Amino acid sequence: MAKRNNTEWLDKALDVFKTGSGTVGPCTRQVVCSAEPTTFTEGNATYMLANVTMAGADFTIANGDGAGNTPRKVTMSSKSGVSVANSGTATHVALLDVTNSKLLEVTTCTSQVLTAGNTVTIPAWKIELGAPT
Amino acid sequence: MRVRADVPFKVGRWCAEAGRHYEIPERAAYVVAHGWATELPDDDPAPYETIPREMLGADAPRPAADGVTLEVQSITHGIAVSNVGG
Repeated sequence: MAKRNNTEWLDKALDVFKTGSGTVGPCTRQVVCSAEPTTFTEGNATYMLANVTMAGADFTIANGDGAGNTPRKVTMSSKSGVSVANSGTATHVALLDVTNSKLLEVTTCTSQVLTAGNTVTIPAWKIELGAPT
Repeated sequence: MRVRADVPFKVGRWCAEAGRHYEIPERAAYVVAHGWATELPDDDPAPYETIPREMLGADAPRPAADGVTLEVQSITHGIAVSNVGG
């Protein structure tokens, strides 16, 4: 026997990034960091190597890629030619809600040296809410 | 061969940044010939990064007009639902 959920509430959670809900979201900035940020300030300033503005159109909510009933995902669109503000080695990418000074989500990236004055491309990536287990 | 990248370019999984110095085991002549990098003497004193051969793959180098591209790991949040009474 399988477990199942209604995808509408999963989408409500994912929509925080795209539209926001109450005092959290939407995501308005994506940052590349030299270490794992644990606070908004660490993501927005302390560890920030590059940053790019995000808007609602940069988030696409759809069925997830995993198995089961029924995963949903939000995909962040690719951002190319992002100016590198600070030199360092990129290890993390984070999503920020600048209006509410909140760190929304942090993921990792393969280590890549970045030099101030050059540019970087952040490829599309996703956050998936898996099917219940 | 020791080179200085003059513009961003990509070789396999490696992305070269403009202005940085690298020691690359192969395809250095290719990127120099295409004007993406400048050959440096082997004893050039500037700091450099050695690129492992396994990062280069078999494909030809290509320009990276948008700069280096990160490899970002996507996230999957599991949803654990307990059994009734669990």
